[in-house]
Order: sequence, then structure tokens, then C-alpha cells
Amino acid sequence: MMERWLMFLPVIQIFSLFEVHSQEPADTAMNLPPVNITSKYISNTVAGKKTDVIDSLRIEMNPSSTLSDLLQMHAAAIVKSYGPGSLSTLSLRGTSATHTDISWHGITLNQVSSGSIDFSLIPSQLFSGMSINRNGYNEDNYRPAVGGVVTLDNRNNYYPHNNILTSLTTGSHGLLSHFTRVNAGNSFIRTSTSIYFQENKNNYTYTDYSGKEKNLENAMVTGSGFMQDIYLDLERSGKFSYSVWYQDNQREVPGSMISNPGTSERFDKSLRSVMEWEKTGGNYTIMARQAYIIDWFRYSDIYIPSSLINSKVYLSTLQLTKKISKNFRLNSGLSNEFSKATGNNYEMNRDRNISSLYASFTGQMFEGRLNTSTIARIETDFIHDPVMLYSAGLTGKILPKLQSRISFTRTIHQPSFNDLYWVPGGNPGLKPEKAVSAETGLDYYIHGKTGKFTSVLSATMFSSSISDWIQWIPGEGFWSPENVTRVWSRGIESSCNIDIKFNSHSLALKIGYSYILSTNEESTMANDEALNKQLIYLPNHKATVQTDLQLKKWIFSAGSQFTGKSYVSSDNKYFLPDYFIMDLTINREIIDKKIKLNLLAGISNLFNEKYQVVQHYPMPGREFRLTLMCKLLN
Amino acid sequence: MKKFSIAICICLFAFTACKKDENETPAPLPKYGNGVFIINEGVFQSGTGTVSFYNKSNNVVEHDLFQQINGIPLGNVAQSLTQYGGRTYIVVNNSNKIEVVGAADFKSVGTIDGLVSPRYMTAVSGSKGYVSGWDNKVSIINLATLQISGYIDAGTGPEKMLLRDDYLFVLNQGGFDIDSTITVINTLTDAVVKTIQVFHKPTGITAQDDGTIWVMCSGRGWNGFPQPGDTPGHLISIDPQSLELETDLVFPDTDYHPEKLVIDKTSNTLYYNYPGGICRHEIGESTPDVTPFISHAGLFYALGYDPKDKVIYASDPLNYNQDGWVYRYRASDAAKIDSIRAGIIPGEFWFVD
Repeated sequence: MMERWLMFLPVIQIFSLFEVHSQEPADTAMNLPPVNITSKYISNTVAGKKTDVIDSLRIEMNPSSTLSDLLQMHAAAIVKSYGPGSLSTLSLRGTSATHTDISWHGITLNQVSSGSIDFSLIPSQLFSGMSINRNGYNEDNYRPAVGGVVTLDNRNNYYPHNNILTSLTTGSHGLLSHFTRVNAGNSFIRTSTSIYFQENKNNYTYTDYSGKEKNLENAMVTGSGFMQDIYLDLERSGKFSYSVWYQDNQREVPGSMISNPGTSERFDKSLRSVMEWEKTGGNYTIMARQAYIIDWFRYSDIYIPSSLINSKVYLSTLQLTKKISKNFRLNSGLSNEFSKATGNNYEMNRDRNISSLYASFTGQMFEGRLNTSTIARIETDFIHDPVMLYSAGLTGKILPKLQSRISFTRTIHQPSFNDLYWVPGGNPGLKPEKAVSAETGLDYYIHGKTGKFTSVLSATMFSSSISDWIQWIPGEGFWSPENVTRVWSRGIESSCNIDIKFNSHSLALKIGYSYILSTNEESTMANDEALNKQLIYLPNHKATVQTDLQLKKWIFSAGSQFTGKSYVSSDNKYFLPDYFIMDLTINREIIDKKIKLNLLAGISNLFNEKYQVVQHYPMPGREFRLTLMCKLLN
Repeated sequence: MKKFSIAICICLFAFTACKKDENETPAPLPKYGNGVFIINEGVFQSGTGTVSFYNKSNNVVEHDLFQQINGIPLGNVAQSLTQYGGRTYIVVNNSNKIEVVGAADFKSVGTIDGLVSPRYMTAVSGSKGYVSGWDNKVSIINLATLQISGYIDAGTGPEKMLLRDDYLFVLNQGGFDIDSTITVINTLTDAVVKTIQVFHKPTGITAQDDGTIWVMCSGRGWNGFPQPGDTPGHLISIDPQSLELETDLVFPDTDYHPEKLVIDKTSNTLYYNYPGGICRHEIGESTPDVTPFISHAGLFYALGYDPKDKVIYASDPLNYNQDGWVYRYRASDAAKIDSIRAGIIPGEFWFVD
């Protein structure tokens, strides 16, 4: 019994310290006086690092959004998007798209072929929240991530209450989106079943360079999928969970404003399944995880040969957690990742096996005022020498309201299959990219005496040096990836979160700002003017403001982002100008016994800003959407 | 006496004719004359092609002419440029069009639309031109109306073309695949008179003053990335009358492939790109040269020859995402003259007297 409470305590503590913003309208709203939970806990999270959370309210206020849409409103996330529904990748702290991992149930979803993942293919409604960690390790599987990890969480869907949620969204330019989730179960078994469908013509209007209004052509996207979670509490035999997620997307690929309208299409299908068993007894917890991922990709065009890639990944993890003392915990584990892929641009079937052994030591000292965590990991692909990786961090309370953080990390990123085996040009001799990072920060907490006002001010400085950076460079007639350059990324991230409760209302304000300098520090080419210049499509400045006002059954949300200019040539001669966009959403809730209805009306790009994120690819102007959401409660 | 008077009149007339008329002004030099157009492809899909002009008179380079003068970007992937009849035609490959501007001022005259992946253009008269395209066709253009008036089927990936008398020689390079033929078109009838079988991937074509046509066939494969089935390069000559192969010089190594071809007609010397730089071949030699005459780390991208100054132009696009360099070399002794900053991915040259 006591062990079960200990398992939940880290969840409660984390939310009270970092992101106190779960404003999901409750089934029966009751204002309780604040309660301080002071029992000690030992967190598995990596001390010394800043974790940001996108909570359920954000997801509920943007029901038809994708992960790409949500992350654009986060100051530390630089999203490179070709347009709604088009290829969208994420850069964290000045690194590349392949350096950002996306994690779900402890498995990394990045495709083995490209090494990255398209964030526009992930509907946010599947999840109850997500967290963003930078320059470190995946906290679920201790896998290193040079840029960072976005962890998708839908485990809250398991708890408590049986319910059915269904929503329908319609909007500008042919947007139609449907989502249904059924949660059911009891103390022994819980299931969560989700299905979704989305379609968008994306034929929005833009102004071309000669001043003419045109409609975007060849930009339709359709996607569908389902997710099934099963959770069994076997009591003395442990806990068992099984999750499977299938999605199927078809997208037309538009041309740019200065090229032909586009005759290409791409098809992406994924099947991801993960099984996990965990048993806790005495001072130990043992966990076993088995995952299987299939990705299928095809790119076709009437004028160029199609590209087709199938990949499969088998992941196995065995982990033992031992409580050494009441303050310290040791995790140790063994994992294996076997990947294989076939494609018409690989000469033959390709495979790779990566095994790793890791240990993590976490603890609390000085009556909980100092948290520490250390990770050591040794990883091998059985081709190169094994690599030793580590992370060490401290989070400590300097003053009652002031917390400081410091961490050092050494991570690597394995080359993708395209880097290794693409014909022509693939380079099987590529070494992993290596990164050494450091960050330090302060968090200042303010709590009103009545508990109705809370604020967190945070500032973080970081520096990361990535060597053996893989870059595709022109060779003698074709391009080939080489470990040619070193990138130095450094900057500042700051945020201010304010929560105010008054009567039965609340106001939440989140302000974020990031400044990133990420520059090429080495070159193998003579007369290379990219040396010491900012990487392309990485703005130096990004700022976001998110405001949520809840007045009884109404929620008014305003989200705005300012993105500074970004260079589009590596010598920094050419750039895209800065832009500012604002989105508004109004949510009206109606509860009648066991039925909760939400009607949401939203406007994106309120001021109809004309802007580009990728040069010559116009982003949409002002758009409208309407959502009806219905939740049947038990 | 009479003869003397006539002579005086003639002298006076001559004197008057030589006297400078204060109202006359000398004809202005063409703005884009005595120089080199550098056609910069730009980044595929997300960039715009540009045209730079290097003025040999004052060594000044003007960049992005089309946008500077006409106010809008040129389009995606500026592939090539040709001039005829007071006009300049810029083939914009991934925008499926040809922009037409005045040769003297670069101001827009019109646009030829409806093309599919156009690559190169050859004008045969003021009213007719041909455009090669990767729809495996040569489009016939009415240059008076700037409309497509017909199509001629070619091989796979028709690319560079050469006009000799009334015949148009079209290299079928292969596009995204590979080909080994040359389509010969009678420009008076628009009929294909012959498809000459040559060798894999013809990438360069030029001609001597006596009409002999030289073609560089690069061979199947990529430099430095040997694959089973690779074939060597061939430097061949074709008799323009019989349309038969006369000379076939085979390169010795299937791992290294020559590309492009330009000629110094006065010395009958050919130049081509080869791993390590630029090689030259004296017409008449029995084997092709594989030792670079001009050295360069890697492979040059564009290759051009200025016959007036006898200068070789070669481009290096660096990482294909920043302004590239154009290097100028003296053909006589390979001495480097200077380097010129161009636009992103300088891909072709057009020399203007």
C-alpha cells in the first residue's frame, strides 16, 4: 500500500514545482484549500535540468492540432514547417531535427531511415500532456538525445472514471477532424481506445511576389489512426500494460511560391506497439519492456522515380530499480535495439544492432534541499568502439523560494540509415555525432499567502558543443554525409508563469523567451563563408505569451509568438524576416449531470500576418475553426 | 581648274564630315556587354535562381539582375541562359518557364509558360526556338508569340543542344535515369532525322570550326562511389554530314567520370571537368587526358570558356547553400587570374561580346 503512494508522489511533486497548470474543467468543481505534501520522494528525473510541460488544458483548447502546432507556441522549440500538414521538424537548443527524440511509453519513435520524425503527423488529442527536456537523456529509457526529448504522455487516460470523449472540428480551407476516446475499467483492468480522422484541403490563399492572390495547390492532407492502451494491476504479480498505435497519412506535397504547383505525394504509415511489465517488492522494482515499430514510407511524383522505405525496430529493455536507502535509488538496465530497413535507395536490406548498459543514481540530501542524479551509459553498435556516456546534475534550494540547477551531459547521436546506406552517397563509415553540454539555471517561486497566487520565474543558460556533426556535402558528382563540422550552440531560456485564482475563476499567464546562437565552428572547404555563421532556419530570438482566463464555464485563451529573423543561406547573406502571430480560442462548457459539452471557437493568425517559415512556402493567413466536444461521464 | 575645284569641295566636305557635331552623342555601350552572365541555380524548392553579370571592363559583378530590375524573384532553379535577336531567355527549370528579358536592359518582355522541367534553349531564328525538357521532349517555341507551337519526342532526359547548320543535336543525358543517345532534328522540318547511339550520359557538346562535333559521355556511375555496372567515360567526335562516330577516346577508369566540354577553336583544344580539376585534350591526341591541367580539390561544377580572352571559367558552389565562387584561369598556362563571388550554385556561363 505504501509503495503505491510512493509511486504517485513524484507525479504530484513534479506538477507542483514546475507546471501547475492543469485547468481541465473537473467533473464536479470543488475548491479545496492548498495542501503541502512534504514526504520525501526520490525522483527518477534527471536533476539539474529544466523540464517544460505542455498540459492537458493546452491540448483541450487545441483539439484538432498536431504536435507541430502546439510546439510552435513554446519559446524553446524551433519548428521548421513547410505549411499546415506538411513536413514539420523540431530543433531544440540550436541542434538539428535529427537530434530531437520523441518518446512514447519509453520508446523512441524517430524513424531509423531519416533519424527524425514529422511532428505534423502526430495528433495532440491522443495525449494528456507532453514534456520537453533539452540536452540530455530520455527519462523513460535513458537513451541519449543531443538536442532533447519530447515525451508524449497518455497514461493519465488510464485514471480514474470511465468516460467517452468525442469531438468534431471543422474549419477554414476544408478542415475536418474527428476524435473519439473510450476509457473504461476498474481497479484491475483499464483500457483506453482512441480513433481519429483528419482531413484538410489546405487550399488557402496567399499573395505571390507579383501581388496576385493565389490558392495553394496540391496541398491536401488526410490522416487516420487508432491507439489502444490496456493496463492491468495484477497486484502481487505486478503491473502489465500494452499499447498499440497505428496511423496512416497521405499528403500531397505543394510546390513553393516560385516553383511549379507540385505533383508529388507522400504516404506515411506507422505501427507502434509496446508491452511493459513492472513489479515492485521490498526495496526493488523490476521492469521489462518490449516494443515493436514498423514505419512505411513512400514518396511519389509523376516526373521522378518513387522512393520507398520500410523499416522495423525491435526494442527490449530490462531494468532494475533498487532503493539503497530512504534517500537514494539506483536504476540499472540493459537495452537492445535491433533495426532493419529495405528501400529502393538502399542497395540491399540493411540492419543495425545497438546495445547499451546503463545505471542511474538519484537521491536527496539535506532534508530534500538538494537533489542529485547521475547517469552512466555504455553503448555499442558492434562496429565502432563502445562509447561511454554520462550525465550529472544537481538541483538545490538556495533559499526557501529560490532553486538552482546545474548539469553536465555527454551524449551521442547515431547516424540514420539514410546517412549510412543511401545510394549514391551513403557513408557506412560515419561515426556517431558527439555532444558535450552544460546548463545552469535558477527558479524562483512565489506563493501568495492565501494560495491564490503562484508564480515561477526561471532562467537557464546553456552551452553545447557537438562534434563530428554529420553534414551532407557535395562530392565529385553526388552528395555524401561526412563527420565534417563542429557546431557550438549556446543561449538563454527564460520563462515566467503566473497563476491567479479569484472566486471560482482563474487566470494563467505564461511568458517564454529564448536566445540561441548556434554556429558552424569548422569547415573542410576553402573560402567557406559559413564558418562561424548561424545555422540556417534557426532564429536567434523567439518569444511566446500564453494567456488563459477561466470565468466560470468560459475559458478565453490567447497565444502569441514572435519569431526573429532566420537565415536561409549558410553564409547568412539571405534571411527571412521576423514575424508575429496570435491565436485566440474561446471554450464554453456545459455540464448536465453526466454529459459535458464543450464548444470551442478559434482563430489562428488573428492579424492575418503574411509570413514564411521555410523560404518561398507561404503560411496560411487568418483561419477559423469550430469544435464540438462531448464527454460522457460515469 | 574644274578638277581642282572639285577636289577642294571634296576636301571641304570631308572636313565637314569629320567635324564633330555637337548634337551627336556616341552610341552607348550595351549595359550587359563585354562580360559574362553567371546563371545561379539557387536552392532546389526553397530558393530562387538568380543571374549575375560580370563586367570584364571594370571587373564589377552585379547580382540578382532579374529581381533587381523587375521586382520579383526569377523562380526556382535557373538552369541556363541564351540570347538571340536582342532578347535574353532564362530557362527556369523547377518553375516550368522561361523568362524573356531585353538583352540590353534585362527588363521583362514576357514569359514562356506551359513547359515541363525545361533545361536548355536554342534559338534558330527570331521566330523559332527549341527547349529541351525532362518530359523527354523538345518543345518548339514561337518566339514571336512566346507560345509553345509543338513537340518533338527525344530520348530520356534531353539536356544540352548544339545547332550546326540546319540540324539540332540534342544530348539525351538520362534525367533521373540514364541514356546514351543523341537526337538529331532537322530544324527546317522539325523531324528527327537520326538517333545516334553513343555512350552513357552525354553531358557536353561542342564543335570545331570545320563542323566536327565533339561530345563528352560521362559514363554510368558517380565519381568516387563505384558500383557494379559502372561504365567509363568516352570523348567522341561525330561527322556532321554522315552523323557517324569518327573518334572514340575511352577513359581508363570506371571510378572517375569526366563531365562537361568546352573548346578553344583556335588551338583545337578541348577542356572538361575531371576529379581533381580540369583536363585538356589537344584534338588529334590518341588518348584522353586524365591528369588535371588545372587542379582543384574536388570537382568543379560549371565550366565555361571565353574565346575572346582565352580564359577558362569554373565554378565551385561550396556547400550549395551559400554564394558560390567562380574561378578564372588563363587557358595558355592554367594560371589563376582571379575569383568572382557569384550567387547560390553557379551552374552555367554565357559570354557576351
